Amino acid sequence: MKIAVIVFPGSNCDVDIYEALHSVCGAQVEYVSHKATSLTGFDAVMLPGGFSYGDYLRCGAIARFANIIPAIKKMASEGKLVFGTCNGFQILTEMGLLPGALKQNDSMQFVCKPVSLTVENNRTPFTSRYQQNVEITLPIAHGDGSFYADSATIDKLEQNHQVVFRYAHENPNGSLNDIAGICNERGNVLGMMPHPERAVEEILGGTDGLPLFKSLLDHGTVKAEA
Amino acid sequence: MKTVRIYVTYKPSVFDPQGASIQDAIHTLGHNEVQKVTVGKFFDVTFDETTTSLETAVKDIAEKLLVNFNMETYKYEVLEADK
Amino acid sequence: MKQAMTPEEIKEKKPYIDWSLTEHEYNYIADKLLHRLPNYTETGLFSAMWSEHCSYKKSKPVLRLFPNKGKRILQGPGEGAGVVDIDDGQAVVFKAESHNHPTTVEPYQGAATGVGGILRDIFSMGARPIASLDSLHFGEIAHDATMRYKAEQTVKGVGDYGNCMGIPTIGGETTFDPCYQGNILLNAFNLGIMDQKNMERGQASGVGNAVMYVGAKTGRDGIHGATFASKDFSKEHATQRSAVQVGDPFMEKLLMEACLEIIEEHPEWLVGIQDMGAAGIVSSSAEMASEGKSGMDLNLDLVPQREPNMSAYEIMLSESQERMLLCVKKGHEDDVKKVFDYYDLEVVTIGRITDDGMYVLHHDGQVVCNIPVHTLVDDVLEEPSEEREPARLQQARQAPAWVPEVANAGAMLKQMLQQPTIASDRYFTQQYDSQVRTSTVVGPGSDAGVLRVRGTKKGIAMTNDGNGRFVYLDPYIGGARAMAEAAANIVACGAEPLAITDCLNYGDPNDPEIFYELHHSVMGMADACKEFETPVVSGNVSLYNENDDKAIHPTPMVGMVGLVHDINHVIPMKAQQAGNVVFLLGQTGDDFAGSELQKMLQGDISGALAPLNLKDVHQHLKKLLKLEQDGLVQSTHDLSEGGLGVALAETLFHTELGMKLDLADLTAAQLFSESPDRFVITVKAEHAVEVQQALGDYAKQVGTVTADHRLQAQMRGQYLNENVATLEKVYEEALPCLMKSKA
Repeated sequence: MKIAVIVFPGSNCDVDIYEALHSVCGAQVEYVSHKATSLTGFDAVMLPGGFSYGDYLRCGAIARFANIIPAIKKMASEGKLVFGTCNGFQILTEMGLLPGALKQNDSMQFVCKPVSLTVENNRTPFTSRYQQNVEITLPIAHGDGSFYADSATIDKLEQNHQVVFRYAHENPNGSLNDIAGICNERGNVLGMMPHPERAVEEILGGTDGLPLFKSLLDHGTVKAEA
Repeated sequence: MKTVRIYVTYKPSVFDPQGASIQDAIHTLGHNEVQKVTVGKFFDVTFDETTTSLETAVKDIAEKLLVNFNMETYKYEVLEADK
Repeated sequence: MKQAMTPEEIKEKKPYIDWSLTEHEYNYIADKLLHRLPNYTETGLFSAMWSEHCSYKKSKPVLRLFPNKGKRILQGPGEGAGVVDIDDGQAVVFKAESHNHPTTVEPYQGAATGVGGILRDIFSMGARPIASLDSLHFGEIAHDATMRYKAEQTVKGVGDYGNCMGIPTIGGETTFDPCYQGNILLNAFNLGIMDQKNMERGQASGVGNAVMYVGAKTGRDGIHGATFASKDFSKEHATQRSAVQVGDPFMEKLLMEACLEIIEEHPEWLVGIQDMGAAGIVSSSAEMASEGKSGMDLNLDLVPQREPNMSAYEIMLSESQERMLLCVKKGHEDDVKKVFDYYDLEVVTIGRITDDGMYVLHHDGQVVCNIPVHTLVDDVLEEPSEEREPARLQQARQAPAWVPEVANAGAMLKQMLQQPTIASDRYFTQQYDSQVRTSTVVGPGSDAGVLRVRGTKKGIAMTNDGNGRFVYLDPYIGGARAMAEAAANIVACGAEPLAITDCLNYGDPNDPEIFYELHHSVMGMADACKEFETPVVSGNVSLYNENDDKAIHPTPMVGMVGLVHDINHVIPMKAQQAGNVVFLLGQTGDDFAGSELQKMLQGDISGALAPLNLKDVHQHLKKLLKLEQDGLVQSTHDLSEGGLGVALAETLFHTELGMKLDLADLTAAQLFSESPDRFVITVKAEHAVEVQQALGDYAKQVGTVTADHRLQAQMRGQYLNENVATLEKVYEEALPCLMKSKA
């Protein structure tokens, strides 16, 4: 399995996700420039955190005009795995692969700290190594992470079990229904505000993010729903 | 040349933390008559004379780029007709 | 810009005095250096380059006291940042820089551009920035909404810039004192890492080689920022907003990636590279030419400009952010351009290197400057300064020492834990991304921040320490104590101190008493640097930190860096396990002068400081480090503001543990004394004898770590018995509560 890490101008967690997959999990990973137009040969694509295009206008809003975007959409439509964390999640909503939007935190402050999450759906290719409803701790680091969608969209996400991670105990940003991460209907596109790539080594304070990367490496492509 | 000012704000149903906190600050100034503050942003977009349909262009720019319809809405006004 | 004055009009009307050039300097330049009258542009360039900010003309004699050589020192002061060998062909590059005046006037942008500037200093040396620290000194925030706003905005500025750049801010310090009410201090520290072979220098040489301008366009922002920083800060300057620049971290991120790509992959294209910092194009280009012993010929019409009709003077002095100057080997201009094009950055060849040593500028078809490079950079007149011991020092030595009585140690501890300088600054530090780049082993809230060096067993520890109160009471001892405190923080986490950078923040040095503070505190620091074998590799001086004729406390900030030989043996600050033995290291005396307790109870500080034996301190540090490296120490926390009481509480916060201690030879007040050279360590019971033997009289076994979450201690005539959860609650809630208060 070969994985692409997209580097947008302003991406800054690209190294972190690369190292989590490569150094820690031993996966085959390559950086791919936002200027590339093809992802042929890759089985999964990672959209890293950071401040693509300075997060000017809105977080993730300008990245969706990058050359690489059609290739990412193509992979998603083929059922290949597409994962975005933090700015990557914002980009996935802005480009329409995931519903909703990420607003400024209710506190109006950037916040970097560990938070508790529950794994709400372990039947996705990203979460199969977690136990259903298990509580894990992952770091967050964002200023605009408050998930918002209209009530019809929220209802649909809940009914379809597309809410994959939910904040436990404390909601750090004011997201609706304490949503921390969601997937698309097919389950092959996941976006989340917390940073699993920052929790893959004991020395950095925890390994609760590791099952996510191991899960996605277990899986290849998600078959289209019948 | 024509300049169009496009205003983007959260939809009324979306919580606007900046607006709420500014409203709070206004109340501490003693202006308790202020009932609501909405924070948004505006864009001054200047067109050259080749524009045939200003309205279509503004709509296109706002809806494809400046506004995220999941949470935001917009309005615009034509500011001036310069020399 | 209006029609420029003629050289004769300049001589007559003396506009340069407003630009902080003295008449004596002007005459010296005209009579002794140029042998003619300088024109308008040249006069402007001299006034910027001869400012204290660029030339250190006042502080240079003092800075010479610092040792700057050592076996690990690859590059000392003089370049963008100092370079220190960390073995394996790797080096760390670090520097701290003040941005006090801009932050006071416009906290958000001042702080943001302060961070931006220090980052450029690091990556222009060829190093990738991997961690930042800050040192923030604010006025009191209780009952001062403006200061709260400034604190909030300063922190947001630091955070937004560093977060966007993807460089973790892993620690620092925040203090509050009325002396900073009108003059905030923001000192930004950054550390980068590189392979030694990639070391770059700010030099320009080789006739015909290109001078290339990269990055943001030049606007009229920040003109005379350098002289702005070299004037004191009265109310009249509150309107001087044009001197504040606006930062664009996104542009800087691209600039960093592009520069590092060239340095790492195509070093053969480059002769030198330098950031355009204070005094913009003139200082970067003249310094590069001086370093390369070259001349330079620039065409200002080619400089990318954001605004129309800029004069030569404005173009040269603009402090627009996110710009770099490169000296590129002839023939590689297009290669360099291709790299910057990929990042969508503007890059232009604006001139060439010459061999006549002249600094020549063309603008609008005219030669607007033609002067020897050395007159701008090397011929600056050092300014002799008068000094006089402040009367307060004499008085303090004669007055009886203030020794308070504390009736209820528990209640006092709770009150101390809520003092803004002592209370948890998590409210601020959690606005910083402290983990990006996934190498942060110890983040904010500890004695020092620690990063691992990926691919090795090594770690890098770093700390920023400055305590203006001690330096105010005794410049020499205060300077030495700032060093001792920094070294203690480095050793506390199990690292070996390597070297320091500094920011020297003082008032107006033309006041002989303030010059005395500068001189004697640097003497104290320098003596400690020599004793600890931690040379000064870089630094920065910020003078004229005054507001309406009142100077800040002299506040030298020490940024110390240490090497962790095995990252798996970083020593935590927190107690680890019930049953472990608690040792108090060092002597606790009635050291209340300048303490947080004195400030709290008396509203101000006074008194004399006890002398510090630097040799003893160094021996203690070495012994402790040895025990830590031998795996005999479970936790270490150094004692600083708030003394033993606060340190004990901090050792237990975020654990489920407690302590039961016998401190019967201490008074309740001494729980808050700030005697230097002290630590609290915990060790496994089976190691207690060995640790006691190794440390001898320096250590005293005072009790054990307990499984209940209580801090208990028998003091002289009092028993302290507090629930740690309660202490932690007041410690954590104090700052957010103050920041959000409406009073």
